Amino acid sequence: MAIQDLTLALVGSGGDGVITMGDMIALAAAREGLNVIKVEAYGPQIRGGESSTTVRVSANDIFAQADAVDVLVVFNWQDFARFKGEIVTKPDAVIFSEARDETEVDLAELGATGNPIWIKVPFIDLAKEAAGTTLAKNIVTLGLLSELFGLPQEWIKAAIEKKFSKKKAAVLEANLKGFDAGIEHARSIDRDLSSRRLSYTPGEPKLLMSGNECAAIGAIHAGCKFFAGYPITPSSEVLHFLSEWMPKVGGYVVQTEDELAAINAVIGGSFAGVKSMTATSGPGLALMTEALGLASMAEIPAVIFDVQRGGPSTGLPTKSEQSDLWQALFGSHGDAPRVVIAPADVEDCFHATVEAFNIAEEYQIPVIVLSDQNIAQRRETFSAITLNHEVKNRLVPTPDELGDYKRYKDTPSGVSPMSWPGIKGGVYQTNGLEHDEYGRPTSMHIIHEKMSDKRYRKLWPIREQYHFYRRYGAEKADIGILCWGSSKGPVKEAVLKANAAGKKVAAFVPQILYPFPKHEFEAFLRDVKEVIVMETSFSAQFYKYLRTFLHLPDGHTHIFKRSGGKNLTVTEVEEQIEKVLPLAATKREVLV
Amino acid sequence: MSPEQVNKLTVKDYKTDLKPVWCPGCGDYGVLNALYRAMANLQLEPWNTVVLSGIGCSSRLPGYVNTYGFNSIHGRALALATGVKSARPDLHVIAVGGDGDGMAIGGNHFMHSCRRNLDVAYILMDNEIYGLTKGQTAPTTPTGDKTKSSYYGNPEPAVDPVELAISVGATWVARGYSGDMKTLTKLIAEAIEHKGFAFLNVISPCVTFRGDHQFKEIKEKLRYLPEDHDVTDRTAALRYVREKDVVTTGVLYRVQEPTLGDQLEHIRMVAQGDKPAPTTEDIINHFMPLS
Repeated sequence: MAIQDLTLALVGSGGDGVITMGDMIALAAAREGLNVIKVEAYGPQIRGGESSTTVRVSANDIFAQADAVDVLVVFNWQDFARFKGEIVTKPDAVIFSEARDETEVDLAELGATGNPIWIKVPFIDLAKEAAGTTLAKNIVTLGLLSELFGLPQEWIKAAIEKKFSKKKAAVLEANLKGFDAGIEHARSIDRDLSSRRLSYTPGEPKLLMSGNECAAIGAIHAGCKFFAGYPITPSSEVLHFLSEWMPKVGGYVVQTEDELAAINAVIGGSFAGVKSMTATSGPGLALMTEALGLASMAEIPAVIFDVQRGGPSTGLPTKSEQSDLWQALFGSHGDAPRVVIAPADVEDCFHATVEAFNIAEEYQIPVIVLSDQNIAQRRETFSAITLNHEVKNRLVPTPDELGDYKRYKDTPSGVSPMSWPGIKGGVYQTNGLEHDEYGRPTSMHIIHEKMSDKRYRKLWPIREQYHFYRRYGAEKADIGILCWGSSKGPVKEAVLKANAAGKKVAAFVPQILYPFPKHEFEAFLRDVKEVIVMETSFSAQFYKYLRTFLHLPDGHTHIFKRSGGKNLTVTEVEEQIEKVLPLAATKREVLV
Repeated sequence: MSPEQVNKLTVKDYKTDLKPVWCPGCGDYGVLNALYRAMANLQLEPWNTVVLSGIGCSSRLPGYVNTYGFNSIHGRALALATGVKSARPDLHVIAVGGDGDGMAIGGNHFMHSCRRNLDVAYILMDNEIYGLTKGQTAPTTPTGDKTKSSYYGNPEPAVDPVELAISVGATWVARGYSGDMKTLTKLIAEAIEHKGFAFLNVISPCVTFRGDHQFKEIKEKLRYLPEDHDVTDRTAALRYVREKDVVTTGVLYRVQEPTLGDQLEHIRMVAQGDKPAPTTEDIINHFMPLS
């Protein structure tokens, strides 16, 4: 018997090459047409320190990383200890460790409570012998793993060749010898692992991308020609990517002195008629909050891509959490309408960013895309992005509207034609002060009320126009799960598994969070008996947010919330389903 | 625009119908009038010109100028200008504001705009006080001066914005006086024309919170730079900073360096050249593994 779904975790120190190893497995599997989800985790050190990569490879559709790993490779048990509780093995996992490391390990503590197989491998010696350097031990490991678990060996070899193609021929040769030594060593292992081999039919190659890369490409697709940003983990890849690609499409990137400058430069670029964006994480979004109010008040399109990490303060910069929600939704002085969109997987980051530009431009409003570290930095496969995503532009004044131009003309939709520098007859002076239809400052209550209404009125058509949500599972369900963002992955996987087992479970995942998709939520709630709200926010921000707009059924609403730092797992979702399922028997007739 | 054109732009064309909120006797009127004249002298096209500011008395100025204008939030005039000028290098960009806006809350942007040699003109109306919030100590308030927020006198030394600008990389630095319309008009025009970050510190007295005697005192202290001053000599320029008994006006420092816009355009040329922009599909194809 063979398996269709295999997860490998690789743990070592910086310099052990575990990240490269993960990359090569992921590339080879994607090239072979398999599905891949790859995540990395690091300690707080800049260089060196512990690092790990976990690669899930599957012949079937997958939506999350696996809760427990089938195969674990540990170069150094001390490093592994730093990932306690985060990397868990299956009860019968296969564990490889460096033969020289004689640390005594209680495998049960790792999760290997069944019949694990622990094989000590002289990685260092093998690398030295075959390649002449201990640096090649990751390549040796690749040989070993590919041979034992049926990973696409030829493509891994191609990945090695590509990696070392720019080095001296001797370096490549040494590494290929290391790879062969790994294969040979695998054949000498006296354990039958044939039942653990991955079984699949090769298919068309798949794209392998991260959410941050998708977001950057989404920006380019939408016509963004100006990006200003300040580096912050885990969003910096957007800045990195655009620093390479933006000039190729004729745009400009400025790395500003701080996030205050970044968002204000974006507002400046957009005021000047150019689609503009910034990317940041929670602490940076906090700094941008004042200017967000400016964009809202002066009705200037702006896209802010926020990648959530553990907080508050510096928090857990390299790990995911869903706790910037309130800041994105409500972080404001004064009544400052904005739109908040949350991508739920890697590919979504592309679409969410394009839609963010569309909404920002069409409605002259700041749009926050609320991603999180999990989808931002993990790499996953998909067949092809739907490239025919419509791109929208802002409403320009007609010749009749120029001359005596009213920048903030009070229209039925709230959207006023917007001119920009270069348009003769469209000259106007704007400000963060309350203003009349011409943009002239005022502090009269009557105008403040009227213009507040105009700015908020724009949210209605957005709500009618953008149905950006997902629904999974049974039509009429015993349990309906509400979640958002990257929690979608494990929830979807658990729901589909439950459905396959005959359990009536469904899930609703809004991607547009504000304006609140009330009708869609209510329709979903009508079809389910028990409700579970799931999120990685200690204070249950999502649940409390839902309560402001929805009547969640008393006594039939269950909350699963915890802090981030560890992504929601399929097991956690399944446990909630099992806990709540019996309650569905005592059903109410109508929920809402 | 050529001089023989009939529809020559006059000072009137640069005025909006908004009345300034400034107190009678405010130095900022002088700056506004000099700006109108400088713009008319240069025949700046209002629709291709942007005047930006942050918050403060003087930051109300964009509302009074008939170009594209933006009175934004406290301290961020130059951050906005960075976006406008980088996204639209073809525009004339003028940032204005006060000493609190530029030296305190916006100090970081000032330093980096100088350093980048952002191609904008930045006119700082320096009245050594916070006027809009009614008289608190600014970073430019002399040590010992009593203000609303320094009951026993200002305990801190003041910054000289000109010294700061020269030190952190501005390529055109001048000091002007709002009571000297003729010189100020010339300086503003030159600042706008300079390719690179042009910083003009205008002594612009606040009669309400610094007293009526200001104009008289400054007039007595006023000096012009000597004819033989070498504007390309940074050390020479720094001789005219932190002045106590005199106020020296004129262009202290002027050099030509590549601007931020030049550098960004260079990057674009290296990256794109004359090739058509890649499509989304082209970019995505780079993510096909091992192809």
